[in-house]
Amino acid sequence: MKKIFLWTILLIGLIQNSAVGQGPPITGDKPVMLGANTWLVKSLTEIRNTEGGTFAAAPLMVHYLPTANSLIGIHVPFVNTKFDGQESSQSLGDIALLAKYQFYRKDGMGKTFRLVAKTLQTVPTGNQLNLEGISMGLYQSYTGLIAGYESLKYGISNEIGYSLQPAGNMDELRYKLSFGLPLMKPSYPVKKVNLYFEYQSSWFVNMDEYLLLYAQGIQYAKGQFTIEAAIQFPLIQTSSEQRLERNYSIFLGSRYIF
Amino acid sequence: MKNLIIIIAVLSFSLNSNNVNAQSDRDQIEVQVDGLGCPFCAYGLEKKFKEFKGIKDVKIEMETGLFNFTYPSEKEMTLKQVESQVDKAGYTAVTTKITRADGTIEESKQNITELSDQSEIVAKDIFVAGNCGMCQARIEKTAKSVVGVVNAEWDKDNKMLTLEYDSSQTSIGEVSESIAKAGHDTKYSKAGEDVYNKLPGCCQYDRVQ
Repeated sequence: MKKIFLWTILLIGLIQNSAVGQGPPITGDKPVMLGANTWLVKSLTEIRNTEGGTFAAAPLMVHYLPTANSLIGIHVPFVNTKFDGQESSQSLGDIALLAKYQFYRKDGMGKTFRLVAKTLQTVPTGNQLNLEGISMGLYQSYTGLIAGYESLKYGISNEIGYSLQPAGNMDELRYKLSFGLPLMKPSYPVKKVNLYFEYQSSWFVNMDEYLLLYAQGIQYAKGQFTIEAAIQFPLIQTSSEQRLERNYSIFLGSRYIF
Repeated sequence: MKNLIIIIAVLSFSLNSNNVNAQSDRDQIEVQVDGLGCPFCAYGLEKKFKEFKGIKDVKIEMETGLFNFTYPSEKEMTLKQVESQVDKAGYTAVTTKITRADGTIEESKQNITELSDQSEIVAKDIFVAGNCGMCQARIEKTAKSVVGVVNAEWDKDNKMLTLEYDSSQTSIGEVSESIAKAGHDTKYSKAGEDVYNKLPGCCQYDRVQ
């Protein structure tokens, strides 16, 4: 399992040169920040179809940049669960608190490289549904590092981190890689359409299980407003008695900055 | 009817005069900004500067990183304020130029070229290969970063760089070498293959033989 994880990371790393990108990824995170005193309100609803049912999480996310190199945020998810053979139910999911700090920045003409430390603390406000990323009902602590290079011609965003679940057994070593393809020439005021190709590699350390996900997305932005959609499915997935195997997920999102 | 026409003419004239006066009461600010890798970055920059009440005519060129706006002259924005605000927006101000309403120009310098009694200002035109506005910004920025260069302007149509430099501090050869290291062939120096290949696609000019 370890070997599959490491080989996958190496393979993904080798195809960096073919990457093009503009703007924030859909399922991945980004290093570039917008400037001090900026607010961002966004939502990214995930509708996840699994072998055991269909679940949806619609988080309301509010981010604020107190300085040009820091960000704090809160994510409040609303969850709809429908296990096979049961009625659907709605509940609050696990609320998460986010903080990011950009500790390195190198700017050039029309390009930038940035490094950001990130932490996401998830509190057990949701039901114990054992649905990672939707509702675990357990405290989780995630620490990660984001590295991103953005230029007018191409961009690439990497994130690596570890999620610790003290009272559970779904500790996770996670790696995300995002590429974007602009379909329009970069211009200002903002008006753009991007295609996104995003990977997520998850190794559930305690269970020794592995999941490699691929998401294909499209994003439209005009002015301060962005809408986006993606479909995600597993490329590699070890079978498990402890986790519901995923079939696919659909993401629908929007963002507004002010 | 004649009186009405005269009144309308006088009113139109005074409105136009007010408009012209309003424009001439504004400073023109131009900043070369590094780090604008995406259109939302440009939004963040403009938003930060809108904290200065009265800013107008904002224009940001993504390819060159040139950020222009006007500001009421009586509020006397300084070079330091501009550079500090760019930094607060999360980017890097490379050069800043303020053209005051009265015509005076204040400019930040990338290099410190101090003139002395031994200074001898020479003006020369040299050929520098390039294609576009991004090339222009890169060539001029590189030339101006050489200590001793007083002014550098590149014409993208005839590919000629008009250089003014202090010959006691630098030379045409030194400036050419610097420009070649940035990726642009000149009459005197050729850019390395690896540097040339790293230029954006639109900047990859026909190499000088």
